[in-house]
Parts: sequence; C-alpha cells; structure tokens
Amino acid sequence: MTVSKGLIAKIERFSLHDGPGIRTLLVTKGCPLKCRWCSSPYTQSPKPEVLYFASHCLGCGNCVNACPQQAITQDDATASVKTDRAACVGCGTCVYVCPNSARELSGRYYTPEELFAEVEKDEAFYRRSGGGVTIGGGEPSMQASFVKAFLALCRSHLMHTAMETCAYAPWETFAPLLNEIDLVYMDLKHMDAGRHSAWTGVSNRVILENMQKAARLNDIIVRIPIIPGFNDDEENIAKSAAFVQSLGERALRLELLPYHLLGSYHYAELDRDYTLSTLSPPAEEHMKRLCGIAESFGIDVEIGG
Amino acid sequence: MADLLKTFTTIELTDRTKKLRAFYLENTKRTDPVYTIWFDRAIAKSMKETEGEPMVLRRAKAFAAAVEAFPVEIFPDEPFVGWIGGGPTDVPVGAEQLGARLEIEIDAYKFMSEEDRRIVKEEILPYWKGEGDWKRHWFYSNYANLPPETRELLYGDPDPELKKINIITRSKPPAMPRVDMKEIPGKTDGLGRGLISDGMTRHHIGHCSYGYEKILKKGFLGVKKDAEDRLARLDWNNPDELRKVPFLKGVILAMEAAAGIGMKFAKEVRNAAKNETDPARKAELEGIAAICERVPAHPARTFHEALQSAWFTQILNWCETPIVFAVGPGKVDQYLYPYYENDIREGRITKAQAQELIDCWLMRFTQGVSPFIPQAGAAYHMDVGGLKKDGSDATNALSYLFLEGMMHTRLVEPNFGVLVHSKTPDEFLRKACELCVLGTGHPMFLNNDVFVENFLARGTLGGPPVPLELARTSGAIGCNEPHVANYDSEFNVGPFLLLPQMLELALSDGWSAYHGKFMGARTGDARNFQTFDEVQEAYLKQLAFFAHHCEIANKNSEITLAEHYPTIYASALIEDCIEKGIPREAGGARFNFGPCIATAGATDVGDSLIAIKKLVFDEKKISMAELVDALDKNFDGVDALREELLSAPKFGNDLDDVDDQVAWVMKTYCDEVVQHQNSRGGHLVPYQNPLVWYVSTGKLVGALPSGRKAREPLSDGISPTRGVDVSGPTAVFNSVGKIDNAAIFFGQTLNMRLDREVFASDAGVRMLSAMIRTFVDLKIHHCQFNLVSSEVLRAAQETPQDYSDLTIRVAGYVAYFTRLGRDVQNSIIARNEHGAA
Repeated sequence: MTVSKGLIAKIERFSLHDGPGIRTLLVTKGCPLKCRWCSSPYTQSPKPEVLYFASHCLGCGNCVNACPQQAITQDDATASVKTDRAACVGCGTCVYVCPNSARELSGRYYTPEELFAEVEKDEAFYRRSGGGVTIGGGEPSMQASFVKAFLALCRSHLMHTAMETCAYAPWETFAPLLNEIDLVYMDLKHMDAGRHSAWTGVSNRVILENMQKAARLNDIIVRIPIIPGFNDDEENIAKSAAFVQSLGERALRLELLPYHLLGSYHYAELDRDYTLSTLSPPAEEHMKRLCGIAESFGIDVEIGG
Repeated sequence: MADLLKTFTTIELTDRTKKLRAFYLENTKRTDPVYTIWFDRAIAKSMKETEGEPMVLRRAKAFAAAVEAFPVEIFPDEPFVGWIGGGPTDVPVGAEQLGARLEIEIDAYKFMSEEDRRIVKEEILPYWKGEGDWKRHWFYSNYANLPPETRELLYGDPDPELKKINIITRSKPPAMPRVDMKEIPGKTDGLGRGLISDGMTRHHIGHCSYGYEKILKKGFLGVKKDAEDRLARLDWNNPDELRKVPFLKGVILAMEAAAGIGMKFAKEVRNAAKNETDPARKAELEGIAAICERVPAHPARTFHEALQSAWFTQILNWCETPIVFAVGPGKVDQYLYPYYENDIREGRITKAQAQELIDCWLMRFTQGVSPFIPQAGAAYHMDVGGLKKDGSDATNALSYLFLEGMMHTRLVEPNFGVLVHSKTPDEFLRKACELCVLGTGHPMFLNNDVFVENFLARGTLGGPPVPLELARTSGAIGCNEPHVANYDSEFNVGPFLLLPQMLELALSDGWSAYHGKFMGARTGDARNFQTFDEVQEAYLKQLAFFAHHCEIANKNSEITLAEHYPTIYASALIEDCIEKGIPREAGGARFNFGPCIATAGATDVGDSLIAIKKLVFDEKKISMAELVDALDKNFDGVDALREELLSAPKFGNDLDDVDDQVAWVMKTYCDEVVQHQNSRGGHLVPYQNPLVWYVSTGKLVGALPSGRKAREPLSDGISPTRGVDVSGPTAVFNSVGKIDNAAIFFGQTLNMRLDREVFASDAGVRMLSAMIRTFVDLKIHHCQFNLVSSEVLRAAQETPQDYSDLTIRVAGYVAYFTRLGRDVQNSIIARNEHGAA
C-alpha cells in the first residue's frame, strides 16, 4: 500500500516541553475541533495557508502583483496588505516574492521518509537527552496512515515517540497509531458534552471513550487547558480528576495548563479575529486551588504552561 | 537568579568575599585604565646603562631592575599580596612599545598624574626616540626589513625609499584603542591600512601559559640552579655552546631577581602587621609574611603558599613587558590539587577555608586590562576538568571548588573554561552547566577530545610530534586556543587575513576598491568564469598569495623580535629553553607552533559560494557578469537580485549544501596556513576568532554574493551570520560539527544565544548537559552560551532585522521573538525580569 503524503505546518527542533528530553515536534495541519481559545489557529485547516507578519511587511506590493488569484489587496493609505482567504489557494507565490520574509507558507507535504530525514538530523541530541519525536497538531489522527508509517520508521530506529492528540477520531482510525507510540498526551476539555460542543464544535463522547481505551494500551498524560469561564469551575475539575483516576495506572499524570494569550497574534497572521481577546489568564491562586482539588483524587497533578 | 544561585552553590560566601567582590565589581566598570610608569622608568634606565652588551643580558638586567622597582602594595582584606599598581585597572604606560604614538596620546590619558606625564616626556621617551628616528624601537628594523610588496599589503604603500620611517610608530597600533581618535585631532598621521595586518607588532608577549607548576615544585631558586647546572655542563670548546653563555647568565640573573620578590613583600607585610590593630587581620598578615618569605623563591608546601606563589609567577610577567595579555594560569585544578589535598589530609585547612582562598584568588584575575578590547580584562585563561596523562578523567575536588568560585564571584575574568570529553562525569558537567545557567557567560565549553586530535595531528607537519600524554593534558589560553602549557612558545597573535576579502579579490581580479589599485593576485576577470570550479580556484589563489605574504611578515617580525626583545623570564619557565641555551624567540621551546594566521568570515564566504553555485551555475538564474556588477555597486538598484542571493541557503541551519561549502572554506584555509613556516622551526596555525572585530573588520569588506552589503559586520567566528540561523541550537551544532574542527589548530569560536528561561531550572540544566554531551559527540571545538536577558530582548524590539534568529520560550513552545506581537514581547520581557530578580 502506498502511503500518501502528510501535511506538516511546522517542524520545531529543540523542543523541550512535549515529552522527555530534547525532541523534534512535528505540528500536523488539520483539526476536527475548533476550540475558541486555540493558540495555533494555523493548524486548523487541512490545507496549506499563507501567514502574514505585519511587523516585517515593507509595503512594497510585490505580493499583490504576484498573486495568481488576485487575492491580495493593498491599503493605499497604510500600505498594509490583506489577503482574501476565500480566494487564496495557498500556492505560496507571494511568499517567494516577499523581500523581507513577511509571508510564510504554513503547510508542506512530506512523505514519511522525507519527514524522517528531518527528524533524524537531531538523533545525536535525542540519544544524549533521552528525547525523541513528538507528533502533534492539529490532529495527527486526521492523517492516520501517514502518521503511522512515519512513526513506524522512527520506532525502527529506536527513537522514543510521543503524540499530542485531541483524541477525536473513530477508534478504528485511532487505535493503529497507538501501537507506534511510547507516550500519548490527550486533551480533556470538558466533562459536559454540551459545554464541550459549544466551545470546540464537537461532543466529548468519542474523546472520553478513546481515552478509556487508550489507557489500557499506552502510557498517557491527560491535559486540561484551563479556560476561565469555560471549564475552570471546581465541579468540572473534580469530575475530570475522577475520570482520570478511573483510567487506571497508565494514566501517569494530569496536567493543568493555564489559558494564555500568547497565541493570539496568530489570528492576525491569518487575517482572522480572535474572539477571546478580552479573556484574562487564570490567577495563580485559582490554578493552585484547582490543582488541590484534582490531587484529592489521589492522582499526580502538575500545573504546566 | 538569587534563587538559582542558592540552589547551585554548596558553600556560602564569606563576608570577606562579598566585600572584595563589591570592590572588584565597581572597578571593572571603569572604562579607562590608570597609567603607571614604574616599569617604563626602570626599563629605560637599565637599557640605557647596558648599551653595547648582548641583548639577552640587557633584557635580563632590565627585568631585574623592574622587579626592584615593583610597587609593594598591601590591599585591605586580601589574603594575597602583589599587584602592579595601586588599583585593579593599573597598567604600565608601555613607552617602548608605543613609541611616537605615546608622544601624541599621553595628554589624552584620563588617569595619569602630571608628574608621571612629565617623567615620561622628559626621561623615558627621549631614550627610545634617540635621534628622532626611533631606531631603538624594534618596529624600526621590522619595517625597514620588509620587502616592498609585503609592506604594501600591510600598510597600503610600498614606501620603497622608507620615507615613512620617522612616523612608523605614530600610527595607531592594530587594535589598541587606548584613546579615541577624536581626542587627538590632527595627530593621527602614520602608516596606512593594507589588506593584511601583523598582529605581532607591539604586543608581542602573550597567549601562553608557563611556569606555574614548575615554580610551585622547585621555586625560582630551583630554576636558577637548573641554569647554573646547564652552564656548568657547557662544552667550552664548542662555539655553539659558547653562544649560550649570555642567555644562561641572563636566566640566572632573572631567576635570582624573581625569587627576591617574596622577601621584598615579606618585609612590608611584617611592618603592616605591626601597625594593624585588628588582631585577626594582624595574625593573617603575619601568616602572609611567612608565606612570602618562603615563596616564590622556594617550593610551596601549603595550599595558601601555592596560590600566592602562582600569583607571583603571574605578576612577574609585568616586569618583562608592559603588555601582558592572555598569559594565563592554565589548568589550575591540576597543579594546585596536591597542595589542597595535602592540607585537607593533614587538617591544616577546611574545604570552606580553601573555597574562600579560591574566591579571593579568582578575583585577583579581574585586575589588568586588555590592550586590545575596550572594557575587557587581560584574558587570563584558566581551565578545569579535562584528561590526565593516562587518558582517564582529571576532575578532582578542586575542579568543583573552582566552579563554585566562579559562581561566587561572577565577574568578567578570568576567562574560564571547562574541558569536557567523553569521560567527563555527569555530576561535574551538571555543575558546569549550572554555572552557565547563571548567565554570566562563563564557562566556555572546550572539547578535550578534539584537543587531543588537534595536537596529535600537528606532529606530522613539522617540529617534534606532541606525545599522547601532552596532547591529553593540553588546555587553552586566551580565548579558546589549544596550548601545551610549559612546552609551547606560542607568544602572540600573528598576521590576520580576512577570508571574505579573498573572495572579493577573486571576483575582482585582485583589484582593491579601497586602495584603487591591483593588490591581490591576478586571477582573471570573474565575469568570464564558466564553472564554479574557476571561482573556487581563483579564491584559493588569492588565499595562497596572501598567506605567502603573511608568512614573510611574520618571519620578519619574529627575527626582529628575537634580536630586540628576547624574553628571559618567560624563556626560563618554558621547556627546553635552558637546556638549549636560547630564548623562546630564537626557538628555545620544545614546541614552536604558531603564531596563527588569524581569520574571520568563513561563514560569509561559504554562504557566498553556495549562492554562486546554486544561482549562477546550477540554476543559471544570474550570470557571473550580473553578479560582479551587482557587487561593484553594492546592490544599488538590483534589489531583486539581492533577494535571490539572500534566499540561498545559509550556514547554521543544518543544510548540507551550504554547510559543505563552509567546511570546504575552513579545510582549504587550514591546509594553506600549515604549509607556511615560522622562523623557529615550526609552522603557522589556523585560527578563526574575530573577537569583537567582526564589526570593524566588516567595514573593510565590500558587498558579498551572500547578499551581505558592503561594510556590514562579518559573522562572529564560526557562529552563523546574525539573523540567518532560524532552525534552533541543534541545527547550529550540527552545521558546525560538519567542519573538521580538530584541524583548526588554534581553534574557532562558536557563540550561541539561548533563552534563559528555558534552562533556568533543574530540568533545564539537564537539557544543557545533554547539549554539551552532544557537542562532544559532534567533535566541535568550543562553544559558549549567552543566555538572553531582557536587555537583548529590548534591543530586538528596536532592530528586529538583527534578531530574527532570536528564539524565546513563549508558553510550552519556542518562538521567534521578533515575530511576536509587541504586547506579547513586552509580557515576555516582564517575565524575564521577574525571573532575574
């Protein structure tokens, strides 16, 4: 069977926060969820997209002239440019003509072998640090056959593999990936199906089921992004902790990740508005209180961020 | 940082250390040195009296006269004595070295007494000036002896009738920025600027480590006896042997004088003790007096004696030459260990007491100033860790105490290295990384495994081979230059050529735009080059042409130096000068490697070559003629072409095509340099470390095919060009690891910028250790980390184009700082400052 190419938004070498040791993080493109707080909106679409860094833009207009779709317009007064995202096909022509790297194409297609050649470059660092490869996103399971082939290659070279997933996928698609993974990070956004659906676009039913099944096969770490006003009430945290506790010993840890605004600038890069711009990060005290509640269920809890 | 410091240190700072640290910290902030004249006065007087005698004897007598004139200052709170003046930034004025330059500069010196200025003008300078031609100055014959072609490449003018001979010493010495040119308007005439420079002129001593261990073991009187024994063994029938007599007599005289410095201090310290009212300090002074009565004349017995003896050995260099630069104490944890171990075993000292002595000793090395770099210290290099003779790990208890000492002191000097290798213990590496995380820029990491290869490789190229034992126990001097202490004559920074200029000349048929004439080799009109090989060949021809003239310039400097300024004190301490009966300047040392032909900008050349290869010859997007024209006009009006060039691959991103070009540039440069000889039976060595000059030397270089515009800074050592390494630190390591680091005998510099936040934790220290382990695996010579502070982040906000490589941990990930929104940037700066509190 030939495996199709995978779409990767970016490759982050020297990643220290996505599993043990020094790692290469592969950010896949395409996600079935549309979380309102998403800090990497460029990973949501399963197609290549052009990012625009206004601070680097010289206003030269090269991109406007070069675009084959005529999707870019320039404001005469400010010289800043805007891309009609509906018309843009992500061909990247504008990226190549930009003299100051103000435009970047997010999303490049790789075969599993090509992607492996990229991660192999830092093998010496993985070896010395106990690190490896983490595939995240986006949602890796949206490109399951590609991801499986890629991870199998890593495994055959004795690399440690990890995956960051929202766990929203049919079990038949999801399960084969788990065979190639040493450690799985799974997001638990909300215990209530309705609330979950309202803020992410999908129900949590499949997610919770997949977590239960995965925890029988793999080491997993559950992560909750703490979003004020959405899931940071004590009741939800208590229910979540109880759920994690019920997953058993292979659920190694629960991580509470405080909401932050640090990804908000990415929306502008995509000519999109950020709907949560007035939301403040949770107070440190509040995080500690939630941590205490979760710990009372006898599980290992960490505040990350 | 306060919290980290507490976590990382195991012994608390004493009140004395705190007090002294505050004192030295304040003093390192001073931008101008305080000029003293005791040395210059003593030397001029002695040299005047000894006219006509053999030079080796005259220099020995001048040394003795300087020891006699050495100021005896006893600073409060210090457990050690001896310094060249009344304050940490004192420095001798250096009349012989500066010559006419001093005449025009002296009134602009900020810190110098009027009486001293008068003495220099009336008593000291007239001697060196002679009849007004400065013939006593060694630079006179150095200049006069040069062949006109080499002189032109050095100074821009062949001056065949030697019309400039009267002003030769008036030009600004290379890289000695004592006085801002603006302060002496109209007085800057002198020699011009050529295409190469000879770093040896006027700051000839330095970049060496010698004598510390020998003096600890046998004292200066022991070395004196060695010279006496050698003299007694002379075959008086052999004329070659007879020629050694003045040198050996000179050594005996100099060692006798050096031994006397202890008693000189002992007397004054006893007096000070008598007048001291604090009983504790009184007792301490009595102890110091007893130590000075013993060392450095005799072997040291205790740790305190050993440290004091090593310090005397250090400062006595100033009695030989006023410009002591990069003479460093070397592998301190090795030769000091027996004394520490003995004291601990016999209960004479506690670990905490030893730590305080080390702290205080380290701070003495913040004294002195660089003659080269404004606001820098004197580059006293010391190393800890490394290998023993038998190839086993050399780390000992003192290695840890010195790391701890660097955590306690956190000052700019000494220039502190940690020698790492495949057997370095985890615990020691961890402690070294903890020091690094404190963010002072210390330590540098040096790859001892690469040092071993480096020295073993030299033996096949001329000179006696370095035995395995000495290759293993080698360390560094100066910045990060590999050196076999006590055996290696290495005494200077040699000629300097700029690799990007070689490429420039290869593309202009040898035409120097700066001089408006042909000065390089004639390699043909590059517009007509049909293949990439032709470009490389033209480049190599330029390189060979200039290396040839560097060899001539250096040999000429060396023989003039040997004639005018043989160093007797240093030679006595370097093996095998006494046995051979000749000073190191004449080839007395066991090993005579170097000096270096230093260079900079290999990265710029590699980035340029790949752009030419890819765009001109592979993809045929640009013609050679278009490229050469674009460079000639500094890309004026050809923005699109420059964009193409800028988009070509750049070094530091782990891209094989460009990394291979940089590796080729370094390999061909190394291969070329080692073919050239010095005057002492050794060969020249390659070195890539532009120090702070990558900015100033960049001003001499025109536009390059890498897309770099004329006069912009060059790359810093082997560090990627600023702003183009956008793939993170592992990619930089991989790129640099593709270069044959061991073949760059005098080393190269890799400076990296890391986000402080990433490493400032226990887990962060573990990650840094893993990075260093990989650095050893990849056989990289040197690396040093600059943990990014909020100041840098602010600068990045001002000029984002210079910082596009600056990565920073944002939340759970690392991002490019300049791409973040202003508000996010500000919040990160706030976080950093919070972390630093």
